Amino acid sequence: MNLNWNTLLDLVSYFAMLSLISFGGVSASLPDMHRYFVDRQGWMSSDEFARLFGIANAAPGPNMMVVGVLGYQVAGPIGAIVSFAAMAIPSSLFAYYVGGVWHRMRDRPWRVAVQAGLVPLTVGLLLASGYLLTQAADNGSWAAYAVSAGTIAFCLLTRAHPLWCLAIGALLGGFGLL
Amino acid sequence: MSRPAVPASTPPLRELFTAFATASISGFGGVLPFARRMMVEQKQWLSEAEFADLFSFCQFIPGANVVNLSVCVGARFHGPIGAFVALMGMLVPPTLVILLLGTFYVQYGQSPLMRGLFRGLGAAAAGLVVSTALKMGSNLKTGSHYGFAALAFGAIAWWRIPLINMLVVLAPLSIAWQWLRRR
Repeated sequence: MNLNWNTLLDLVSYFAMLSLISFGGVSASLPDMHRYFVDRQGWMSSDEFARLFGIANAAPGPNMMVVGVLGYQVAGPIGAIVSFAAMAIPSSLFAYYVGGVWHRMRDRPWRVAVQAGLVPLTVGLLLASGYLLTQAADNGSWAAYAVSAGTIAFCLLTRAHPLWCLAIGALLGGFGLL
Repeated sequence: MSRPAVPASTPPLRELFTAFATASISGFGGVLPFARRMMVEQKQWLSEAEFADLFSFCQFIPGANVVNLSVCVGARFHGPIGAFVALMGMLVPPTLVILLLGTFYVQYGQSPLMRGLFRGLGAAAAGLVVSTALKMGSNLKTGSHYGFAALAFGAIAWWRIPLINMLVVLAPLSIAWQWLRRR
């Protein structure tokens, strides 16, 4: 993997932009990452995107790990670091500077309206994210759909740690059953 | 940042770093529960109510919510330097993990065993995202909430519109709707 400045620049400008519009967090912006990495740049297949997302989930750390894993796949270790930094820095500056203002305005009607208006959009985004990831990860395999569906049921019906689902999924996949 | 309730003891920068680094690296399947336990129960930097208030803000603004949380808590204790140190605690350990994982994936990722294993992880991880969305969806109250959630879903999942275009159109409409409803 040779160092390509244009690729690094693409990664940095994309994630720095995404960092400031990723309302609802990193999971809710996965469809946009999929659109950019798979459809727009053609850097990987949909199938590979889903596998990389699976790896990022199996590792400890904030869920923005997927950003570093995608960056690594496209441009190696440097790609991982610059993608991670580009995703973390703008939103952190935003949190730092807006935090104070937002707290002082907590009871203003416009602030309540902004918050109430954005909540349904983040729910829709997150659901779209789950839908697209399920499509990409399961890719027509009924057994894989069953793992996704089982995970949904497990998380909604029990309070046990979701890591169990990841372990079972990995085990079934490792045995070539999915 | 709200800085009224300064706790009895302000943690030194080094403690800020190690505490966030520990929570971050313990966070299999999500850092939030570990960060909450560390800040509220173990270190008692925040009360339960302060945590809830701060977290709702961090969840609402763009970016990863636990990353935002580390910035806000660090800033509360030590201003900009505290924010930076806490952020580094949150990000440095997982960066090292990514570098290890990436090397591993490039080396062994294409073997049939590993491809199957990662495929299984991906299928379960996709289910996790759906269940989070459904749990959050249970907080929607009115028909208009559902309407805007459905529009956002359709725009992204079916029409594959870039996130920024969707937000530019739907966010002002949804906010204006809420504003008018409340007057």
